Amino acid sequence: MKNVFLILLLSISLYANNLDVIKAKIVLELGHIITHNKIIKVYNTDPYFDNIFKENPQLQKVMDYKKADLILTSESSDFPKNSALNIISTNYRDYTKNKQKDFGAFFWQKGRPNILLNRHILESRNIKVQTIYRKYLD
Amino acid sequence: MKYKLKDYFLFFYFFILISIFITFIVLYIVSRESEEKQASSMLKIEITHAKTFAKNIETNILHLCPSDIVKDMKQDPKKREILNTTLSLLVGNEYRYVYLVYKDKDDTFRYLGDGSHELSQRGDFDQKFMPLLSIWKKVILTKQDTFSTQKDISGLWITYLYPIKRKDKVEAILAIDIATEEYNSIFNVVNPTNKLILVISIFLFIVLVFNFIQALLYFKQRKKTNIDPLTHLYNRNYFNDAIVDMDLKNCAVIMADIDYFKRVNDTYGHDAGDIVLQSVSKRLLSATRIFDVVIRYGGEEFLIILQNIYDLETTKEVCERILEVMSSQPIRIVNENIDITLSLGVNTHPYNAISMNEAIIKADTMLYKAKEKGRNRVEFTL
Repeated sequence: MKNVFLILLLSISLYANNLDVIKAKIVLELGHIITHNKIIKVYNTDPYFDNIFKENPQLQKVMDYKKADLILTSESSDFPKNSALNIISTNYRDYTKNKQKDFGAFFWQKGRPNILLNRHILESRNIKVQTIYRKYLD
Repeated sequence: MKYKLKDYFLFFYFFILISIFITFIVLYIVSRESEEKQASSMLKIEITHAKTFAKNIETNILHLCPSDIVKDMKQDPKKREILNTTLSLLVGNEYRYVYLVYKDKDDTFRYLGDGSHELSQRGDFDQKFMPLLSIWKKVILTKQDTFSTQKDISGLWITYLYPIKRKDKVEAILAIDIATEEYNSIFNVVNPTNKLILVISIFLFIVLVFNFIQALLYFKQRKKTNIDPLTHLYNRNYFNDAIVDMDLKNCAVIMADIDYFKRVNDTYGHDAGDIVLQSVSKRLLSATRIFDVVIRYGGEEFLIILQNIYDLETTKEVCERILEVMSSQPIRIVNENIDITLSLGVNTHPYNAISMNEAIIKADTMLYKAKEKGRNRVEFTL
C-alpha cells in the first residue's frame, strides 16, 4: 500500500498545488525506509522544508540532530560522519560531495521531485529497500 | 384558472429572464470553446517552433558527436560545455528548461547536458533524471517526438520531447519545458471575461429559481383563495376576480338552487347539509361540460356559465342532464337516503344584458319562477 502510495504521490505531484503537502509525504516515506516508528523525528536546516511539519503531524521537528531519525540539510558537511545519522541532502551537489555519509537526497529540480537513496550507505547499514524504492538507488 | 393581464406580464417577464439566461449560457459555452480552440492553436504553434529548434539542435549535436553522443560526452568535458552553452541559448522566458538526457543500460535516464541558467535547477552530467511521465519511454519506443501539457506544475505548460536519432537509433532525448507565461498572457485576458459571464449566468439562474418559486407560491395562493374549501368549486372571489368582466357572447347563465335545503339542515344537521352540498357539486361538475364554469355563488346557490352555446337546444340538454343526475339517485346521509332536487333559472341570452350582474339577475328571476312553479324544474328567459 505504501509503495502504491508513493507512485501515486509522484505521479500526482505534477498536478498538485500544495508542494508542502507533497514534500511532507515524501519526507515521511523516506523516514519510514529508515525506521518503523510512526512518528518521524526530523532535524531540518533547509528553510525550503520548514512548512512540512505543519502539513503532516507524523513529522516531528527536533532541535537536536542526535535525536533525529532523519536530518534534512543542504550542508551535509556541517554534520559529523557518524553511522547513526541519517542525512538526507536537499541539494544534489552537496549530496555528491558528501556521498560518504549522506543517506540520500531529496531535492526539487525543474518543478519535479528528485529522490536518491545512497546504495553504499544502505548496504553498509544493512538496510534492504523494497522493490519499489530500488529505482531511487544511486 | 383564468389568467389576468398581470399574469401575462409575469409570463413575459419569465420569458425574457429565461431568454437572457440561455443567452448567457450559450455565450459562456461559446467563449469556453473559443478559449479551448485558442489554446489548441497556441499549442500547435509552440510545438512547431519547438520542433524546429529541436531539429537544429539535433544537427548541432550529431555534428559535435560524430560517433556516439553518450560516449563522446563522457570522454570529452569540452563537448559537454559546448552542449550546455548551445542548450542555454534557447533558455529564456518561453523555454524555461532545455536539457538532453539518455537512457543507460539499467534503463535509468541520465543528464547529458542542461541549458538551465540557475545552478540549482541545472542537472549535472550523468546525474540521474527521474521522469514522472510515461512519455519519456514512449519517445524511445516510438522514436517520434511527443509532448505533454499541464498548467499547474511550477510554471510549466508544455514538456516537449524530441528523439535525437542516428541511423534510426535513439541516442538521446532533447527535452524542452515551455513556460506558462505565454499561455497566461492570452488567457489572463480571456479568463476574467469567461468568469464574469459565468457569474452573471449563476446570478440569473438564482434569480430565475427564486422568482419561479415566488410565482408558484403566488398561483398556489391565488388558486386557494378562488376555490371553495367545502365543495372544491370556484367561489365568489373567483367570480369577482375573473368572471364578472367576462364576455358573454355565446354563453348561457344558469342560477341553480337546492330545493328545501333549509329543511335538510334543520332535520339532519349542518354536517349533513355539507355532505349534500359536496354531493350536489360533484353531480353538477359531472353534468356540465369541461369548458363550463361552476361557481358556488351563495350558501346553496350555484352559478353555472355555459360556454360555446350556439343554440337553445344545447342549453336545454345541459339543464336536463343536471336535473336528471340530481334525481337519478338519492344522497346517503347517516343511514338515510335523501332525495335532492334543484331548481334552475336560465338566462339564454346574457349577451343582451349590460353586465354580468344584470345577466345573473335575469337568471335569478327565472329561478324564482321555477321555485314558484313547484321546484325541480328549469325556467328559461324568452
